[in-house]
Amino acid sequence: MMVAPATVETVTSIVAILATLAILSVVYRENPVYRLFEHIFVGVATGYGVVVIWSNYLGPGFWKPLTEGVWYVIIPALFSLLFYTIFSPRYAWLSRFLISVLFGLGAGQVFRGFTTEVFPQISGSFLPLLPREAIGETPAVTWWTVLDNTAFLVTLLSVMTYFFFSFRHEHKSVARTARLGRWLLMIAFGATFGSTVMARFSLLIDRLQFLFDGFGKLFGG
Amino acid sequence: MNAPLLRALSGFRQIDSRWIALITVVLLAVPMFVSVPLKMVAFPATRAMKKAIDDLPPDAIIVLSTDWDSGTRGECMPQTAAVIDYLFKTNRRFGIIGFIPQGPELAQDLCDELARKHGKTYGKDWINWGYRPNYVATIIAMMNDIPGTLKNDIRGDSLVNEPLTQELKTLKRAGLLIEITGTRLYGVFLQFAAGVPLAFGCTGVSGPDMYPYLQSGQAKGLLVGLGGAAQFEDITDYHDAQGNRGGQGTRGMGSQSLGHLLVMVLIVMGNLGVWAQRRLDDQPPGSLPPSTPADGAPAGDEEVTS
Amino acid sequence: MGGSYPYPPGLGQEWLVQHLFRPLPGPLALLAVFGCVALFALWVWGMMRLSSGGRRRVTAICTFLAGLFYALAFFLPPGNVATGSAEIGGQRAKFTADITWDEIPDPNPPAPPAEGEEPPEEPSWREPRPIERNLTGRLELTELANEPTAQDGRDFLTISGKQNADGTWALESLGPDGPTPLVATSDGGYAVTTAAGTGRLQMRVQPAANIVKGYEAPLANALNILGGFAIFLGLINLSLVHGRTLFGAKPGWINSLAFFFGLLGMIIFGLAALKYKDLDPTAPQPFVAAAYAVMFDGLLKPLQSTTFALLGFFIVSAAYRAFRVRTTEAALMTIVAFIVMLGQVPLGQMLTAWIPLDSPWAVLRIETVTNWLLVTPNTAASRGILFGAAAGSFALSLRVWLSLERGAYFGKEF
Repeated sequence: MMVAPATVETVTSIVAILATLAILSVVYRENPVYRLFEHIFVGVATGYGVVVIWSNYLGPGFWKPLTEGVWYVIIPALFSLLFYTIFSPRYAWLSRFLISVLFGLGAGQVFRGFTTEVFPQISGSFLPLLPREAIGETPAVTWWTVLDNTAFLVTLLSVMTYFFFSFRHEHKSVARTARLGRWLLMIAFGATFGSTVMARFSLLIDRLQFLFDGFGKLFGG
Repeated sequence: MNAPLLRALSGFRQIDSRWIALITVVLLAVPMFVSVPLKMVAFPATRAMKKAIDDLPPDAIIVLSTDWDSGTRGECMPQTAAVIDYLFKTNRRFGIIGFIPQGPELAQDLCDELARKHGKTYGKDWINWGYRPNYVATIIAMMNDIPGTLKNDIRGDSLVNEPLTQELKTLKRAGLLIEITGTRLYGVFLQFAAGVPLAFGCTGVSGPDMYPYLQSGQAKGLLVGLGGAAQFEDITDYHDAQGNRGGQGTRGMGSQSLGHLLVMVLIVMGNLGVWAQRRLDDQPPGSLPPSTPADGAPAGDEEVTS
Repeated sequence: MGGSYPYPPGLGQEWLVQHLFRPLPGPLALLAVFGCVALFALWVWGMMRLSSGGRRRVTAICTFLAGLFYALAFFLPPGNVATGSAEIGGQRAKFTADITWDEIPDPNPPAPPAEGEEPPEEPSWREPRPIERNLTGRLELTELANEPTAQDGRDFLTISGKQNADGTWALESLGPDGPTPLVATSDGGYAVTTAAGTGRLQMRVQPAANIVKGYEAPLANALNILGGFAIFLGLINLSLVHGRTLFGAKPGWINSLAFFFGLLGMIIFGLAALKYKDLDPTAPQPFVAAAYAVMFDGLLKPLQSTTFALLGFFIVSAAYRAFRVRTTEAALMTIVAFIVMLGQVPLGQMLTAWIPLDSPWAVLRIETVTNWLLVTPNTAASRGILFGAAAGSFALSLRVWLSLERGAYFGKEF
């Protein structure tokens, strides 16, 4: 059976608008229609996970080679059975064995991760604190840059002091630095809050645009 | 301050949340129907993203990791569209990968549409490797062997003789790796794809956390949220299929502006309300005329002081 | 086109690929699969016979070995660089080179399909070709030249070569007159001729001691298959919960029915639609492809994005009900939040757009202030947090690796 593309588009638009309105209805109050669509969402999301894993990886990366005689792809598949032992109390420890080994792999990766992520952060914190003229390819350091760099280092050091829990912040200088660190942290949190507001609205704007566009297409011709 | 004014102000803190939701929807909707020309200044982080692409040699192949799904498409889709459009426009070749299930499929939809606009072909100008579940091991292995690690593209076709993949055998040789993420997957790229020039597009939520990497040079460019997308559209002179300037990012900026204004007004109103209520409570009993029941604190008004 | 592997193959990898891990014809492959299943069952049987302490020890050892793999892959020298210097006319020139393992190209490559002929479907396995170790480097002559002339303002000489079977290197320089072989000298160096005169090149090649690097790609493949099959865990769990509600006709059974409708619809249509790869979006579509489009574009996409969009309402509500400015810290946070909110949108940027960009007061433009807040104090503070978090996760990873962690999960009886 073949379906005309216009029909597919219309049906998709109607279903999508209904689904959007059903979820938005929870803003007014919790209701059965919202619950129903919430469950459909869980269903389609799980189903999509299966489809995408199969089509992107397990189909071409496991099943197809297996049928072509690449027998050894069965080995990781067999070990994945260990995940399912959690359903049996007797065998459940084998799932913990597998997860522990996967954690081990992750722990081995942390050496590389720590070195490549954190070391450039440390070297990036060595900033010039004295003005100088440009030398060759090294750009000049102006008084503005010096001021900026000082602010940067004061913030970094005081925030790190605030997060240093290895000893009590008893000495006055330490306590004050930590207090300054807390204030400066608030700047970062303020920036995060402002930025988060932007993020949340973007998602809502996208939905409203979708609704208006959808209505326009369906009723405006 | 006189009591009626205080009482009126204290009323600010008990507006029903459904009214607030309605105001939000109306405010966000207005700019979608009334178009006001708004000028946008691009941040240095956004300009750095464009420069990172512009500075590449002409034969460089870019890897685009689209790690977002419908949940964050409001921010990440405009970013991805703007970046892909610019890559097509400047005749850059790229490969798409994703570590979030929907990412590569949504990117493929965008690419199909933009490729028609720019007259590009799949397999020659771009390739989509699809989704892989295990991101750390996959990235580590891709660093020295892309075809051996990925094996097939999103359509299930083998990469054994795929020209773009055979040309970009290792991730290390990629001219630039642009990751557009709705999650915190950027950390994985910073850790395990170090050595490849990286640039990021991220949501507003994780934007401020990304700046340290920009300062240290680990990130060559950064797009933050819908604003980042709008700025990138602006500096790359994005035109949609109908020839209108600006894409989804630019279109959303009017609503975004009013939304931010609304939040600021509501914070001020909420605080004024609490302040007025406290002033009222501080006044000795009997010095005020009897109040109406509506003046009582609404249920569920939990305050969080930071 | 030759392959390019910057690292050596893993320990014994070539032997394994040649003798063990290669495709088998139908019946033999089936036999091998059954063999694997039998071995796996035997292994499980053996594991189950271990005592509680034995299980713990085996788990600790395997966890350690797993971590050791990536630790070794990172710490062992990969042998992909060479460095050295040349002395030419009494002056030193710096030499750096990349070393790669490249597949020796097939002398008789398969003919490309004729025009109009369908290309044959690519197999998922290809016989690996023998590899050789190649070197590409450059000798920086800038210090020798009085005036830099070549590109980038630097003058350099390209040197390439390959490793001989005995471990020595056959090098040649690529000058304007074509490749010229470098003659190995008795002291282990090479005689090199440049425009500035002749000299001697000494180089040190990083040892290719990384015996595990070549296994990274096969391991990633195995982990992707492992991770792929793990998804059915969530599927089984959800199906059990909703199956009980549905078949027990408990309250809310209609929601469970909706769950199965979404789940089965997506799986059936999604998998059935896979065979339609290159559909023309303007032509009539097969029913399953159309149904999948409705499930994906009509249900999954809007449901997920709207669920997240609800956060928009929540943040407005939260800002109004919970954001209270009572302390200096809260005030500071509010001010910064307001500036950042304004600086990111055109309406806010318009507030200070009257300050000319070239005036000294341009630093007070709201987008400039926003950018400074993000780039200086925010960056520094975020970095402070990052250092703490990174040190914490490093320490935790070490504890997990060495099985020192005793949490709710790790402390459970084995």
